Amino acid sequence: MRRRHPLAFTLVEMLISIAIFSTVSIALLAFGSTSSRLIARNLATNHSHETVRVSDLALVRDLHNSACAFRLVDFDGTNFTDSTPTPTTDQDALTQLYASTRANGVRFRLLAGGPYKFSSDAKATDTNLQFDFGAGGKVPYVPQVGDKLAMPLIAREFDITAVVKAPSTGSPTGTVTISDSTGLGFTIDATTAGNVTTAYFYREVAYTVYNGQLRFHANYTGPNKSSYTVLRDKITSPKPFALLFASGSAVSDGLALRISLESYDSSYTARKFMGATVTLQATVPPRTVPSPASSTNAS
Amino acid sequence: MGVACPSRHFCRRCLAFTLPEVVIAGAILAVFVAGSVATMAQINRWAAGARLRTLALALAQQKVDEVLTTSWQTATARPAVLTAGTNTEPGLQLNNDNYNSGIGLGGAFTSLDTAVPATRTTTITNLNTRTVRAVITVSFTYRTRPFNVSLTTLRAIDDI
Repeated sequence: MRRRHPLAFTLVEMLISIAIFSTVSIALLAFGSTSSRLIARNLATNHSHETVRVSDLALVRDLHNSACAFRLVDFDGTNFTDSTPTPTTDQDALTQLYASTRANGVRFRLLAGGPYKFSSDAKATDTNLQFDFGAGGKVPYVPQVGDKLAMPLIAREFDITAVVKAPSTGSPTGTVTISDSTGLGFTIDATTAGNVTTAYFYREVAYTVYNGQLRFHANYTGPNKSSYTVLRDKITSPKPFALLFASGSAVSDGLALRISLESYDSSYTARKFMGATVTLQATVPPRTVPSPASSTNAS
Repeated sequence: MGVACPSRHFCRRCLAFTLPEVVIAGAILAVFVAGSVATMAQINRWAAGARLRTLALALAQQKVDEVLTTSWQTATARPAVLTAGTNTEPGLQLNNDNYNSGIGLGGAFTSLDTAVPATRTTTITNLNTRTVRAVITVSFTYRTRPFNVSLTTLRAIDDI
């Protein structure tokens, strides 16, 4: 009996040790919880920031380079349908114009190739035009049906309806058929020494937001529309795109795209942190005005 | 730690921590915890500040786009956006779009963006009769600290 007593803890010792242990445990748990919360918030903030920043960079670069007015597109997961925007009462704070009904896609044209020079003469009635698509021993651009051809010399543009002969590295000369059945409308003398007549080629592209992804369709033509590159995910605004209308106007020139892109990173945390959502508001016009391509017909 | 145990009877007392040891260890732990939490909170503030600067840059970029793409012809009056002087637009919201709360335009996280008011100042200076310089500054305050994002561009008349 005498040996047991000194080796045991007294009640006071036990109470004090339990109190200390509890205090330290609670402090460590609180520290762990706070740390976890702060780190998760930081990751959510940084990732959503990166999503918006990279999206903005890609969007702004391509929208600035647009060769025509913007057209809104509705994408339901299967079908792409041109949207008919109508003005709403939502006044854009940046421009004081009125936002249209929203859409989850926008299509426009980007320069795909050119300037390429005519490699043979053309008569006013010709619908087949021949170009030299070679550049530095390579063929960086191959025309396709649906691309648009614009000729600065005669200020005309045509849709390409057929590619009679596709250029290749070994034979960079290609022939395309233009949409105007009456022909080019002008005579092109491409063979007299010193004459250089050129054309630019524009391809339709699109951005869509679907399933939380910002997608870039580099070739928004025919069946190629369904091919896309995911620029970023975790986009939480289902319809970020709109056109702008002047007060009282029922028609938009389509030359300013309103973007309201929202992102929340739910990968790192499902907790709804106040302030972790990022909303980018921007209004972006094509930088070249008037745009090189005047029509916005679908390719 | 206590000294080595001279006798088995006194082992429990000798191996215990002294009060100064416990106090010092606790103080070190407290400093570490407080420092860690403060550091993480500061990192969060930096992250939020960087994000707001990106959004402010987009706001400034929008005005640069407007300056560069507004039609300016010799035969017509100079557009208002290119008129020399300073234009101040207060109350613009960074990191929020009120209209996203509309039906079909928002989501589960839409209400979690916190708006920060910003002021956009555009100063147009005539360099000559056909060229202007535009300085666009977006300023905002976040957690009592002022931030400024500024862009400068030149604009010439269309039919120069």
